[in-house]
Amino acid sequence: MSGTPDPPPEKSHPETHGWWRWLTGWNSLEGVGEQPDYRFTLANERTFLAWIRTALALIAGGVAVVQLVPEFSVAGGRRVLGVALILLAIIVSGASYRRWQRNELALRLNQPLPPSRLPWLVAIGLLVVAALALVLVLLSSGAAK
Amino acid sequence: MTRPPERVIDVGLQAERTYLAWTRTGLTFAATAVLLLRRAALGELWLLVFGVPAAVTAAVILARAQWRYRVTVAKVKQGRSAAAPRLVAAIAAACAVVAIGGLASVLFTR
Repeated sequence: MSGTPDPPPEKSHPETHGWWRWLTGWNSLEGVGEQPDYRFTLANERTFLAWIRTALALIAGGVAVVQLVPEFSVAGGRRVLGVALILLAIIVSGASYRRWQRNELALRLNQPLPPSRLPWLVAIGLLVVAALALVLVLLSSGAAK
Repeated sequence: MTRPPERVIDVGLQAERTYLAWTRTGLTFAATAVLLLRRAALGELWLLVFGVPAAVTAAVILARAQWRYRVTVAKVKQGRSAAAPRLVAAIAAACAVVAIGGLASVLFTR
């Protein structure tokens, strides 16, 4: 509309470029909005770390089910469980960073935190893995008789 | 006789909780590294490619957690942002590397 002045350009950081800027989201955070209460920033960081620990626990579970659990009567059953758990972990580790960044941006802009499908996704994934594990255990106990 | 502290370092212990969260994360990295390195020690030497970075990440997190705590407290005192996008990105990347190592160990070992 005429008469509306352009908003001032966002503070730019010429020393950060391209892929690194994309990777770190540095430019999208610095100079946007205003600095939030540091407690929110730290809470966001702790939430990110909790998701990373969740991903690491999924990895450990996936590796351990193959290394430590005796083979089911269905050949390759352990491997299917392990792969499913670790694929979930890969999704979580990628999404956790995006989520941290989006939350930090929302905090800086004083907006509500964006919704996320990540908890839903992890819940569904674990439900599938647990159901699969139950089937494998039942089949193995049936085969042992 | 008690007197109030001259300055409160960490109001509400926010930075301390964050420090503890980092410590837990470092220990979780260490546990995952042990699983990968255990497999490497059992003859799958190529898993060192993933197990060693996992162990190094754990060591760096645990060694730097105290330093990061002090930096956070200092930044808060100066009114600067405590956000660390690069650190967060690096940890997420390290976690993804460990995940790929775990996937490889599940798929390519007997």
